[in-house]
Amino acid sequence: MSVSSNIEADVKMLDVPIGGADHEPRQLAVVTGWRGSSTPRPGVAWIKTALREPLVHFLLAGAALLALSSVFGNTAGTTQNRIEVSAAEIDRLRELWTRQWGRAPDSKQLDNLVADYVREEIYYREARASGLDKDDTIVRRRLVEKMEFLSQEIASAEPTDAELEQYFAANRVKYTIPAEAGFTHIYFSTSRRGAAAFDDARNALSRLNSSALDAAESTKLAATLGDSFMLQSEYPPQTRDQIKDLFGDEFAAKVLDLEPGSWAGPIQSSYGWHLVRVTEHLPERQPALRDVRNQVAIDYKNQRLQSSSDNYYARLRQRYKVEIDQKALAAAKAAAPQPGAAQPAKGADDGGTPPDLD
Amino acid sequence: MTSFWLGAIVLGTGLSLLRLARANPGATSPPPGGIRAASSSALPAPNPLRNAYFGDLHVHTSYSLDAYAMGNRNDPRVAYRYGRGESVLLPGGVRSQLRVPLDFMAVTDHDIWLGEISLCQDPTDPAYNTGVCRDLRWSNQDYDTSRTLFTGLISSYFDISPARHNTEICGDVPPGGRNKCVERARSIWQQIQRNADEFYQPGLFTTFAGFEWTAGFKRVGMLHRNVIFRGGHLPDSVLSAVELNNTPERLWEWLERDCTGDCQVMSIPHNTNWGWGRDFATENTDGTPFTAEGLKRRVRTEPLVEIHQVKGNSECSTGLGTDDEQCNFEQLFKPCKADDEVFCARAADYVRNALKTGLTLEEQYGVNPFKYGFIGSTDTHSAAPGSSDESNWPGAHSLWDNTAESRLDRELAANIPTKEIAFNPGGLAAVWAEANTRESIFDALKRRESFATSGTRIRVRFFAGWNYAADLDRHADAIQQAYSEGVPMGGDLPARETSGNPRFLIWAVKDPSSASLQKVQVIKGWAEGGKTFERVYDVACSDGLTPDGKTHRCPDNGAKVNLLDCSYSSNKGAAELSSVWSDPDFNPSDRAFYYVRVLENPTCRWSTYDAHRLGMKLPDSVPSTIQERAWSSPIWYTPRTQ
Repeated sequence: MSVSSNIEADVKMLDVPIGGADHEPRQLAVVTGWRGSSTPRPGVAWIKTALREPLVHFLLAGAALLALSSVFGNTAGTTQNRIEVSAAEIDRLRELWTRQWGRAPDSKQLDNLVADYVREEIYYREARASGLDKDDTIVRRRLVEKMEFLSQEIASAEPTDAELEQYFAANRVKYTIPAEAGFTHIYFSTSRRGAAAFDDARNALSRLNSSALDAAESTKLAATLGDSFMLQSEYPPQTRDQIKDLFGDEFAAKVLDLEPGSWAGPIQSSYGWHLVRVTEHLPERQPALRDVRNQVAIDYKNQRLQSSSDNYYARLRQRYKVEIDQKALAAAKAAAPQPGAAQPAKGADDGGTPPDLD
Repeated sequence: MTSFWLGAIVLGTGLSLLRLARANPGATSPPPGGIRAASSSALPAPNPLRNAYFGDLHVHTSYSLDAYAMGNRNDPRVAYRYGRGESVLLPGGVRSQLRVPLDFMAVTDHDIWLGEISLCQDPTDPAYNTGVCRDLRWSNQDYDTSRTLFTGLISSYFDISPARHNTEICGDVPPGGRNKCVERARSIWQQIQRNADEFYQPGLFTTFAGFEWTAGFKRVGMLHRNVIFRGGHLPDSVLSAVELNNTPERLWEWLERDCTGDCQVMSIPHNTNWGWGRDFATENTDGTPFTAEGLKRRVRTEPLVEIHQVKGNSECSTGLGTDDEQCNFEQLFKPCKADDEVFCARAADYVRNALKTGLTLEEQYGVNPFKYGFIGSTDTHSAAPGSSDESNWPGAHSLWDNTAESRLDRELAANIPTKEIAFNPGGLAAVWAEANTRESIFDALKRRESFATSGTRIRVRFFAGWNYAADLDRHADAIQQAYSEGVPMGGDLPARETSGNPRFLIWAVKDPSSASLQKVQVIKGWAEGGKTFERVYDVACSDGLTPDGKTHRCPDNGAKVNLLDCSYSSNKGAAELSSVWSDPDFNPSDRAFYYVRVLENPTCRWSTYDAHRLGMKLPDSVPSTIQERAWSSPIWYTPRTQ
């Protein structure tokens, strides 16, 4: 076996068997996570140092092969390990539950108990096959210490540019920036003027739009019209949602439809009537990745996390042929209460420390 | 060495396991109208006259042991996604989305058991296979399981009054010593900070790192505080209530010692209605007398109190130090009878009474320890920050109250004499700040330029000065003048130079999506001859009404709610109310405080909406309608020393 001097090349070997159908490889994500991390932390320094050691390259390559054979050597359909869920086991699960909860599990809970048993058994065997149970105290302690740390490191590891670009391209519509309008307005309070607010606003508009006024005179006049307003009289560009939160939906829709430059209205808000002059109109547009990079990274990592949770167990599970004693399970279910049937649970509400923390 | 690297590979496998166990990101979708992405990389210019921003500073996720045991598997990332407006699957598969995204928030998971809950989900740790951890992991099966577990297991394995570490999970704990759980909590605290940093979008969505410091005593008595950091270099680890012996005085000492340099922090008490008289006691927690030095530290660290949330209102309670008819609002407990010690209300549990007591303590110690500004928040345990909408409340306790049936019917617990139906969707925290950034919002909170709401987005301004024009609210530059010639909410009136009375600019506008405003009130408290007093003045009425000269009350504006469909009068109430008010009873030699309360017209309570959903008769144990409201932080007046 040749010893590769390039860690990433070793890792990419993993691509072939894992990548297969439609998912990127999990283990690859782990290792690139270490190397791609943009903020080196003291805790991973030992890994980085280690990665430069030739001996380590050798061991890593060996380990990768080992992992390949142990994790992916047995593909679905060839020799599968065997897990039996016997009648005795189902009995035992049911009894444990009953002892703990003071009532028999219903059929849905029985299904869950069996599924959980299978899952636990698979994980247990995997862990043993991987040597996790070897009583190597130092390794074990070190693993436990680093485990938590690394999982966080990886969950928050910065994705590569290529990953982000790909994700961004596939989800562009999600990042569309809605149209925005910046505006200034003159307020006519219905609380103060009652029904006259609308007419007052309309009269003010015709004065503002009088052809006798130049721009400076119009601005000067505008400052003398209308009522004082508790919020701002000028707003920088806002989306329809942002304007809606302040003035109501109808107002927001109308303002976004106005041509910039001249006074328009009267437009009704949640507070009264307004004359509005749009100062700046920004149409709906696609941002560049660099403008929404942080956002895209959050979404991409979330998707990565989700798909790995969804698929990891499914892939392991595929490698096992599970035999459940259906007869025993059916018999147990027949005797079980229906899911959701209300039963007072023994032990509930019978004292002890009250539950709510705060 | 070989086994080491084999281990490293296995580690990768284990990592996915850990993710499986810990992270349930929840299916999410973008907010309506697209992501609130910045239109350019530049922040909008700060507004010197300040904008109102709404947030939630009390939020629990799966990192909190109680929320986890209630079946919550949504972690802080999901909470942030929800807070910024995305549609999220809440515990039990309930899809929910905020009508309006929050501007700012903090995830405040319980400090105690941060380590335990993490170890219980870590298959590489021996604790994983303990009975207590197995049981905990079952808690998201269904309500019955979760409830049985919580009542049985929590009481047997987790002491909370006061809290201790669980020895089965953590191993034996030397008193005050570090153990496995403390070490694990330390790395979770790093994760909490990273989550907050990751979701921070300056100008759009501000996040703070924080936690809930969970000191308890006697039957869920709460000395709890939310600890909120501005940013900078935070302490490496959290000293929980366990490590600090459930003593708030030690919390303030620790924060002052370990949060220095560019680190800034505050602690915000809440649920003083669960304080059994202890939260605003006039002595230290250990029974020793106050000292001026200790009180100074307290007031430096605690500028705010959370006065409204899911588990009740803490402003005031009619009959306990006040005859204010509006204090009968979302009260959780009845007044204590002779021998009652817990689960009952005392005058000393309420913020307004504490503000009054503070005035006399200031005379005694030269410092007012209860100089509190106000915020509201939810205290959601469903990782649903800002879910304070009565018409669409998804519940606050995960699997325990995620359906209309459960919210209306369930007991909280047999030994707590209150029901889920007595809870409410909680409130919001609001600030007047120049920009939506950590610095600007934190500084607004720190100077108490904040207000609380019972859940809607009423906006309220409150200023005081000696020389305000009597028609200041009609001036186009009213807000600018109010700042330059006076102080905003949370401040101190400057020294009195003239012979006049103080003038207050009061201005409120309605939530565009909720009912119109009914009236605005000023609540004044003062100290005179060692005694304290209060008076409530209606200062602006809607519908052309004026306050009665004697009772200081607006006549009823006649706003009604149709209980059959929850529609309400659209022709009553005001979109905005303003006043320049002068205190007619001002006495320059009395210490005093003033705060504003804004009342909406009545609308349906959440329980009425839920009853309609189920086609049920309206419950008679709670009111069918409420008046949503906002409370400004107070402004204080201190006479010049004679």
